[in-house]
Amino acid sequence: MELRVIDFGRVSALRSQTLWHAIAYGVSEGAPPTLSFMTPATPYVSIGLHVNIDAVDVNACKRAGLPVFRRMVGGGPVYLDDDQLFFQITLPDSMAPAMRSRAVRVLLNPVVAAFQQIGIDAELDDANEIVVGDRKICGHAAGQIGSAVVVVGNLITGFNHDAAASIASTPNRAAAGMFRQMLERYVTAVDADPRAFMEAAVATYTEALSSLQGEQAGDVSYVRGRPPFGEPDAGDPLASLTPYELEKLEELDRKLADPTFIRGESRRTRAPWRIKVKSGVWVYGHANESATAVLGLVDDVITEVTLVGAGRDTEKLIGELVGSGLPHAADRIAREGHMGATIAQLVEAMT
Amino acid sequence: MIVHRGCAIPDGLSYDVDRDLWVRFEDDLARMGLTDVAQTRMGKMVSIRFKRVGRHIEAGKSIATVESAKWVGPIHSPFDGEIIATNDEAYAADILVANRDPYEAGWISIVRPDDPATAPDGLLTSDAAVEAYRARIEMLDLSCYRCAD
Repeated sequence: MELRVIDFGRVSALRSQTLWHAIAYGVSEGAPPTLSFMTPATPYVSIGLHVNIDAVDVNACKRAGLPVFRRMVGGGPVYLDDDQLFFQITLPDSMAPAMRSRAVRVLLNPVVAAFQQIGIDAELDDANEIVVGDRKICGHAAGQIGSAVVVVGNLITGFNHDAAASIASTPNRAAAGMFRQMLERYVTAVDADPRAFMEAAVATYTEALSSLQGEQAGDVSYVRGRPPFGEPDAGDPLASLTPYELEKLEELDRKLADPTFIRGESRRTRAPWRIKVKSGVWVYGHANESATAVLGLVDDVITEVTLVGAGRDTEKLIGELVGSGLPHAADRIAREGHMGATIAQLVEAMT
Repeated sequence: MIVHRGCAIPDGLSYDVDRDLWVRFEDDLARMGLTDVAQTRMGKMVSIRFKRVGRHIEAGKSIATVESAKWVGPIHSPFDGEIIATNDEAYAADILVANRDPYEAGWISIVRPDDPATAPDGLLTSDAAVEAYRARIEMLDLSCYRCAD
């Protein structure tokens, strides 16, 4: 089995997206399975193909000078910067396991093994999240582009929680504050050498893909990029792309920077407002004319509560809510006056 | 109706087996949707985006994209044609409709093929479709399941 490995090194924010999309089209048209790496030279925001642009605080992004790009795989809005090494594994659909959730798991396992090889106690949890303990250390998304399957993710060596929280559209300060707090609690960077991670990932993916094809590991063509992660005297990694990939790259440079594509189609937003921190961890918010309620949930259990305008019994109410599952919470708060009504509306909408 | 390893393959439909798509010809229109194999492979759908009504699509281009968990994938048309209708309302009411009822309530789009008289390559009917689908299910080593109500 041939594995093409391309380390693009540091590239523009736009190219940190368009390069791997171009590779996916190339693999669709017969280019070999490819493991690629790059890091963006400047920070930006990326949103999944189906995400409503309203999920991003576009004005905050403008003020911070952060461009927003829409990717052609799944997942929510994410803040990306040069403290992150992006990786992508791209292979023909025919090579991947039939069940999509299984394909994602099989294609994330080598990343977990690479983390472990460089001394990080990473695990792939039941929700396909790469974690150390209960903290997420690696974002990922996946999809089919053409007839290629691609799984993308990042090695996070420094995570700017303030920036990551600031790009999210939140209904009020209480919700923004809780989201920031839960990001800090549940998402973290790792102390890792990106070059060591790349070397480990090449080995683990070579083994995994060979196993998928029932073959011995074969040739690995390794193209190093420029610093910070590549070699100072490296050649141009673009030379390792096929003519078709280079053609698609130019097309994708236009498409992914097109404001119409970035804006996407408007669609109804679901009520209540909610935002995902990591798999199984959410912040929900609801406000009416008299009060605001924000709940943090971990695996459907309320762990955090912020109440604004709750009156005198705030502490008692919070005490009753924390640790409750949603149906229980709805029952217990039903008789708690105007704040109870606010939370009841929120819980009803959540369930 | 044939059921192989839990995967339903209803009679009276045409199938693009490689794309896991079913097609029901209704006069000069073609109603399309995901097969049982497709909805099983995808898992629980969380969102769908339809190409707009009135848009002309080429064979092999997507009529919609679907998302399950963090996975996004296209649904490809087997022929050139104009999108006449999309099943927005059913998916707005129940995003799992294709996971529950892929061949009826969970249809995706209705397309008017540019050349309705010519069946595209790879679109199979009746026994040929059933045999091809049996072989595909075996090759994928797949067993189908549906979301319960």
